[in-house]
Amino acid sequence: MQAALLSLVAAGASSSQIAEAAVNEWCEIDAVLSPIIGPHGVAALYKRALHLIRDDYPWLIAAHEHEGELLFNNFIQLKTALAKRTTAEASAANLSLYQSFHTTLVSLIGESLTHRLLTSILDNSLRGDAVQDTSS
Amino acid sequence: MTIGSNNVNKANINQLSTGVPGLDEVLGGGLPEYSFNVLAGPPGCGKTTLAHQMMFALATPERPAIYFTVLGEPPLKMLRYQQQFNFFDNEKIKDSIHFINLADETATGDLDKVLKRIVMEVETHSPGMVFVDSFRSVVLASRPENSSFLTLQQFIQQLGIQMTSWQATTFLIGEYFTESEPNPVFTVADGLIWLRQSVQRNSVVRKLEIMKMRGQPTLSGLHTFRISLEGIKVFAPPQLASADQANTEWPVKKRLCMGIPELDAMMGGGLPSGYSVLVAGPSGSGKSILAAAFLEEGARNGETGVIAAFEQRANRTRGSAIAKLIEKDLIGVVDTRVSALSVDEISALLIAEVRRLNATRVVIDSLSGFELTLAPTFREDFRESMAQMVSALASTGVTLLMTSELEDRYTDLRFSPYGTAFLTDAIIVQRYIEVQSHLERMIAVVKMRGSAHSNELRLFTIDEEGIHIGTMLRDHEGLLGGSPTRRSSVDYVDG
Repeated sequence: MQAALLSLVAAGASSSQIAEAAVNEWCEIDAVLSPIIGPHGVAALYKRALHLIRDDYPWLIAAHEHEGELLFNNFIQLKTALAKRTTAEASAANLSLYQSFHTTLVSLIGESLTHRLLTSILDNSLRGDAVQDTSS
Repeated sequence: MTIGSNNVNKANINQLSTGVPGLDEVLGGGLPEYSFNVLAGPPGCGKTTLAHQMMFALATPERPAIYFTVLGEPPLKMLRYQQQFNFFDNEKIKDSIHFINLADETATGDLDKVLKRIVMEVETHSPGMVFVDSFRSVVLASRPENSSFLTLQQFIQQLGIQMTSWQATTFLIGEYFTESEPNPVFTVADGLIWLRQSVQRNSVVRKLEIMKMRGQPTLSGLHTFRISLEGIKVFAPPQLASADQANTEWPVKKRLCMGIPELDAMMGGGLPSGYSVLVAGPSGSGKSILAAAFLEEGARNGETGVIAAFEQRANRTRGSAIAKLIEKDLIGVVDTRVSALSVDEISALLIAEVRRLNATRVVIDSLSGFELTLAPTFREDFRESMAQMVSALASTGVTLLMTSELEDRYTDLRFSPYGTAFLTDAIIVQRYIEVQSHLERMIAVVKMRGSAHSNELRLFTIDEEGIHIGTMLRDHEGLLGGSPTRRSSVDYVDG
């Protein structure tokens, strides 16, 4: 995830493109995890990940809040929030969010199983890098 | 392995090895392939663990397993806790094992949707095994107003038909509290495995029962099981080994030395091979020392042995010679420190150790300690279980020595407080007697099935080298009363 976004930043992508790419990655994670731990399980982890980075990125959690509740709606709030920031801010915030999500998942089901479940996404990210490299 | 007729026109039912130690025996050989089973029991009794253990043992990339999680335990938690077991192999996930959450479909309360999703996933993955955990949640979530097209009964029947047609061995896992509760699931199922936790006083014992398993010679009754990091281990009742292994020859030819030459002489030349002997005596009379001598003598003759010691400080009382033999793995030790033991569990451990070492001598020291180690729920059936264990051990061909604490009562002649004396082929009794203001020890062979033996009451002493059997007290009478009286002025005479 990190490498793909950084390549986009390096390639001079706009914030909207960063946001678009980030949400695509999140949808892939959701597609892998939801069937296993259920959409509610993914939503709970995502909200926890947002909460853990609230001090560094208060604007990110604020974008998900509605009447005092955290919303989780197919990463629409994430996309909107990232698109409003600079590319550097957007990619850094998304990276933090992903790391926070990953760490939470690891703390619950362990490094090895997390890696096992998310292998395909890591592979995709690498493929994404390769495409970026050749196009630049 | 297959059951049923060898006739080519009849269906052969393959039996799958479950990977759960002891479970295949209890099931009557294994799990029938393509069977539709229910795994039931109250919360916390080990249903999910049993399901996972079988799944990890049986799933392959060619015949994967699908584990459907429903509303019950959150899948994240299940994955978190189940991976603590050694059988949980991360490498199998995604290739051989697919976890699929059905929360969305179940939440609608529409069983038709649940069934469609299950069938869709089964068609996609072509699994050899399907688990639905927990099935109870499916039942609770079904709302009559939403399931006008499909009732629970129809849902189960259709699920059963679909899974069998797709050649999947299926398990519905559910929380049920009473087996008498009329339940359509139980009728449709080919197999019904019930897990329980029985509580008596402070002890909790896990038990498993195969209430139904179509077409299989299952072992009836409640079978204890234990859950450790290795997973579930079921203790099937000890089975008699095949008759040809029971090598007690008749009339007795081969005899084993007890390690005390005078005692061998009293026993008519030693203990016949394959016999069981009970050494009964009061506390401190030297039963464990006799048992140690029996094992050491075996080691001297190149035989291996197994000991199950139930004394509080087993390591200290065994003596250095035995400790060395244990270190060299010439004597196997059965761990008796776990709580809430069952006789079946000890039998299984003993027999496994006998097979591992190809042992010929087995010592259980003592039956009194053994009984105390048992969970209270098993104490009532102690004699029956002991009888089963002794015959199972005997059928393996080993020679068994058991000790038994005998409260010194001088009003009657008793050999065992449990009525276990009838179980054994031979009995040696040790007692204290008072002679000239000294506490002396006395030994006698009171039973030796099918063999001549001495009827003498002999004095014996114990020193660092072990037991030394001495003379008879010819000039005394009333020895069994504990305080013999002198008949004449003649002193001790050699026996």
